[in-house]
Amino acid sequence: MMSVNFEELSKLVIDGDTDAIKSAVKNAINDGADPLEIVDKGLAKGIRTVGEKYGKGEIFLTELLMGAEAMKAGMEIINPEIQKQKKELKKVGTVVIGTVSGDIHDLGKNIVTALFSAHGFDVTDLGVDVPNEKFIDKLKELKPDILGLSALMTSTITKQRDIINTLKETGLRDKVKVMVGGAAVNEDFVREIGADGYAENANDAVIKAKDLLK
Amino acid sequence: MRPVLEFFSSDEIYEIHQTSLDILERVGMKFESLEAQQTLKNVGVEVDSKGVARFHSDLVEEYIKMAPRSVVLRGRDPKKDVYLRNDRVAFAAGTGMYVIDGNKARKATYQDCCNWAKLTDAVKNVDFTCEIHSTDMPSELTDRYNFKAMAMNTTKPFVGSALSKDGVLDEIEMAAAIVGGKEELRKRPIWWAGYAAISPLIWSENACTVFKETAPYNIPAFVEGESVVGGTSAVTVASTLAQTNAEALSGIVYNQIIKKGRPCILNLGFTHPMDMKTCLALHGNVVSGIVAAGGNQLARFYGLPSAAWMATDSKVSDAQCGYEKALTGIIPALARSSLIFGMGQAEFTFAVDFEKLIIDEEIVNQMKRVIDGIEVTEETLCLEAIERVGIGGNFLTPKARDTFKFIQKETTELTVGDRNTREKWLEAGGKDIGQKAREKVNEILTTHEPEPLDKDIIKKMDEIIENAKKKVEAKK
Repeated sequence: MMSVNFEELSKLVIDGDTDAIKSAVKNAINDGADPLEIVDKGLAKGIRTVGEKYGKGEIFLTELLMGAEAMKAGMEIINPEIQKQKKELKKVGTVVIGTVSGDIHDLGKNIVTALFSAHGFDVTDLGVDVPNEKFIDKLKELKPDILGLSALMTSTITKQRDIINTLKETGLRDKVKVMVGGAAVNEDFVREIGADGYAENANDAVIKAKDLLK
Repeated sequence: MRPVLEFFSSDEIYEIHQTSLDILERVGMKFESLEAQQTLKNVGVEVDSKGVARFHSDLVEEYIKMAPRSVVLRGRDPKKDVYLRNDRVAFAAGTGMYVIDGNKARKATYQDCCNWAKLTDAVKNVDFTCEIHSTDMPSELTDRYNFKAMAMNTTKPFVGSALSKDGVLDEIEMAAAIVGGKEELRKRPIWWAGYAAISPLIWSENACTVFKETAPYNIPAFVEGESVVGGTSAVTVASTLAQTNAEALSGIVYNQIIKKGRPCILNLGFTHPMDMKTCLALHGNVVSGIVAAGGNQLARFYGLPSAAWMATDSKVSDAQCGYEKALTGIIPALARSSLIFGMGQAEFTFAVDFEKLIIDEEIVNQMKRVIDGIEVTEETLCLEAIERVGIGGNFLTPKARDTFKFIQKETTELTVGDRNTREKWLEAGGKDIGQKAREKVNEILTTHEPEPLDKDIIKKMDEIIENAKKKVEAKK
């Protein structure tokens, strides 16, 4: 077995080089590398580095998302291989996410979704203007670890409260961690409505979600 | 298109120009230097017994044409040279004799002058720097000491003051020592000579001397009409511009007579309106900005570089300071003033504020984005990216990859201001812009090492200062 350069794989994620990463992952598999190691020592390490750089304000949001996209491209190659070898990726968590009813802003939610996926979460995106009942139905159906509620406008963030109240009434509140997001959301609001957490940006959201699932 | 702010139609510019010529012909300009009077007479200017020179308009127009369209201000490091043109904007640090510390001002020292030079050497947007006037050195020698302080602590082009004829000659010697002799100084004049007319309509003995003594080295001449609007010029901006333009034009004519082709800057931007109640000359008043912008349009009419001053009359680094700096900066910047002074300036032109320089660095960053304008090309219109992203997507994904190269150019970032949410801001310490600027000043002053000046050059400068000291003492 040839030695696989995991550093190089990380670097391709950091550089957001979607094309190069596909062939690099293929080569690594052909060289006989363990697909789980390719993820762990290569791709995942890369996306963590990108996140750290973003957290420090060293790179733009676009570079963070290019990294996420490269990660996704690499994972698309590697997932069938993992299945073929009957191995299993370490489970990170499942997420149901959507923008609350009355609000059609999806930029923030999409970015969070891309980042969650890149970090190995299994994400179901319900889209925008999602009625409260749909969130509840999906929760019952998919039993995710995390429910993500996005609301940009100060006039719609109250919907986040409504949904949490419904969760309480239907006995579902303890079964899921609720994360809320949006420009007007802050720590006080999270406490007030009884959510579990929020984050200032997509990268922090990933960190927060991992914390909540510990 | 890069935006250019204009206050006058071409007819109006011509009318102001014509009024300036009328002033020089009908009222004239007093030259207090006998030598200068003779110089003017030699080329046919009529000078009366009181030293008032009356210029024919064709003579003025003939000599103005001799001044070059672009002026290079040279630094100790040639890479730091600044090219002044009337379609570009460069930025310069301010000057003063006080240093603001919190809400107090104290007299500047020689060490302050060194620190000021060092700070301006480190701050990126300062293209050109000015001395601050130290008050702890013998008053007759302050100009030489300040020159040394500046030369040792910055490789950028700078200007010092020249307080006497001896002072000018010594500073020429010091400049020559830096570039390696007087012959070299002619090729790389790393100094400039700036003087303002005394409004209304007088060129002082000292101004004429400074222009004369620095002419052989082709040192750029900063020729200023600097009236106090409403006091030493009429209260209307139009008349003020016509008069200060006449003053500056006559100064440029004089410089061209002494040395044809000498680089000159037509500066009407240090003209400030008077407070008609307190009699103070107001620097942060927006009228200062529009006078400078109008002055630049005149300078462009002659094909000459110009200048302006971003200033504030506030005593502390407060909201007034912020808005006055931004307004008196952006107006001349949009009018393409060649060199805008005043970074770090506060309290009229009396004081400098080190932390304000850091804040002004940020204001200048923002202004540069405005004057860069909106670039319209096939590439910047990004039609292909719009097609790829399609309906309902976003422009942060790789589909818009070819637009990412414009991020840095199209957007702006802050260096000390804050654009975060309250939570993130509190997390980082909840500091205001002043606090952060203060920290940055301390960091620069403790870590920045300006390119050192050769020991022999410093020795030569010390000798020049020592000789000057002896001369001054002998006179006493």
